[in-house]
Amino acid sequence: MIPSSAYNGREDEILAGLQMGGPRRRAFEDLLYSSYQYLIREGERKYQLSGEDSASAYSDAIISVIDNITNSKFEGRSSLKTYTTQIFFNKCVDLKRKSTTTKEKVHHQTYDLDPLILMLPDNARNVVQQLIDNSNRSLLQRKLRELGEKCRELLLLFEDGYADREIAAMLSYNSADVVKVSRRRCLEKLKEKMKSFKIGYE
Amino acid sequence: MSEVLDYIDDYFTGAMAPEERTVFEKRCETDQAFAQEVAFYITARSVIREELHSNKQQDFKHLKVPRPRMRALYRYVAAAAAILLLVMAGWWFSQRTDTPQKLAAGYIQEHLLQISTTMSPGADSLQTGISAYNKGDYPLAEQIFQALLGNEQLKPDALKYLGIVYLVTKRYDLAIDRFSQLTALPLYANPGPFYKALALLKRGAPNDVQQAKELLLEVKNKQLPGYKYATDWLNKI
Repeated sequence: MIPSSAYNGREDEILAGLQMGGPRRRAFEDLLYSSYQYLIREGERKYQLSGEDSASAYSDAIISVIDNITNSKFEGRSSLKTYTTQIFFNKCVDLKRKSTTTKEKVHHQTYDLDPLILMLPDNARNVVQQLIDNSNRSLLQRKLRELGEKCRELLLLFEDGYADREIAAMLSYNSADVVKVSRRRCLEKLKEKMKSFKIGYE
Repeated sequence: MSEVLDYIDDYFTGAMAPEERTVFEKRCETDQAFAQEVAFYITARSVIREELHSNKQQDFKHLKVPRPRMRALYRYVAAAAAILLLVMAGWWFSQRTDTPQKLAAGYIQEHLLQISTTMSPGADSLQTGISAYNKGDYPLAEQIFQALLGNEQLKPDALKYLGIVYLVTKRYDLAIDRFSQLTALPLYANPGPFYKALALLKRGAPNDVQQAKELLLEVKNKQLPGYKYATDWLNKI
């Protein structure tokens, strides 16, 4: 068997790779995904999920882990393996609940509380929350795809937690400031596209 | 319009001083149009994140493809290893259970294929039987020993050699029967129990080993002929 220190070495490598950012980060995301893939079977066994559901819970979990690591929310109090396993099991439970609760079938589309809205204090949050119109999402999604490759790429990389200077390097912009301005312009474009559909934004 | 978006983006990317943040938050509560902008910003980014995640899910799916095959391969390897282990365990076990039989076979091979002809020089017909036996003419030897059973004086030897003939020709039931008869005879140092145990070990039917053990124990305790072997075998069986 492989000594446990080999695993720790690999964990450190993954952590460092993800935190380093830049274009090489993707490779470490893949490495992270591959490292604990055996959990998919465990999800099937432990929570009686279908293979597809378990795999989807697993990639969800990996995405969360990546988010938390790149946003420095992972404090290294447990091993990466334990951390990932914990998040994965939570995702499995969520999925299991969704598929077994009939209530959930009625309100099929539910969205997690957005991390951005959690940045607002209670009063402001309540006001804004009421204005968020989830029925708009599919339209927004379509408009996002119409934006053009460059804009989409920019917005997606930013959302993926890459810093403006990293994006500048990856997409060959002159500087981080250009990235910031371009990104805001893309958001603006998206808003314009929505405007023609939704009078409410006037 | 653009300035509003920049302003909102500054807030959510953490590029705002604390006192400015407070102003921003107050404005959300009081300015409906502004709150609407904030709601759009949050929804848009949430949709982008969703898109990002579904892209990643797709990418991961491609990663997943080779994995099940690998796992299947591992499973085959594991299954093969398990089977191999079972076979080896089975072989080892059969070797082990063979041991009493092997002990008996070894003894027969070493001591019983040739019988010393000087044992009882007076009895000619016994010698004839033994020499036939030593030449490997078992039918003739069997005939001679059979005929000698009627002679009270020669009966113990005749029974012993007849049993040995049966033992060597693998007729264990007959051999056991002859050695039982021999055991029943009132002799000073009766070799019957030892030979009977030998035949039982060689036959290896259920319960034979157990019975052989009891006989060997008797041989050992009474120091009957073959007790050295009996002692040795009792440790091995």
